[in-house]
Amino acid sequence: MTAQPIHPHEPDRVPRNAEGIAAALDGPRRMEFYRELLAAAPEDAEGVLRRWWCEAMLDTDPAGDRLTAAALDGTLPTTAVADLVRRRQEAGLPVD
Amino acid sequence: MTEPYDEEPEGLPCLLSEEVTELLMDKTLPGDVFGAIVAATVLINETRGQVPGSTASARWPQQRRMPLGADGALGIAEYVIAADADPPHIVLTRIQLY
Repeated sequence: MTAQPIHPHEPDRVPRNAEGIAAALDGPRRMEFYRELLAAAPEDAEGVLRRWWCEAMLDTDPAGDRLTAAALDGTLPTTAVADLVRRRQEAGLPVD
Repeated sequence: MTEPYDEEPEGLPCLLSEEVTELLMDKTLPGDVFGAIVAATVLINETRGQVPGSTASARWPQQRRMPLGADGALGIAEYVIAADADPPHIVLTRIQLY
């Protein structure tokens, strides 16, 4: 059972299968993942894998704690959504 | 005379990290993904970060994650609620797409 990428921006740090996802999660979260996967109907199991693969990718991102800490102490550079939309329009990108 | 208890609470501005800004400026980003991320910022603003279906981090109480797209089909958005900042705001820090 695997989860397929729709927008592969980076190499997979976490394998897209249950074994790889479980290995990337810490103890309590690994148990939560197993509980959800074991309780899922076949048609729902792929959704569980997809969501937990994302969770595992975020959990194992070495930049994660730095970004959160910087957001809290006010040192993280940010952009307003309105400015982002204007930049996309200036770049000729759709905003709808 | 105003009736403060009848007023809706004001939202919190949702700002974008450089990582998220870079993703949203990517010319190859599908339109539905762009729309879902912008919709997430609106929802985060309106709910002051308490988005239905979002989950809090055990490690960082101010950090939450929410599904992107219908039933989370597109991925997960992570945001940080800087409630003690002046002015209070929320930062969309990371997006993990499938």
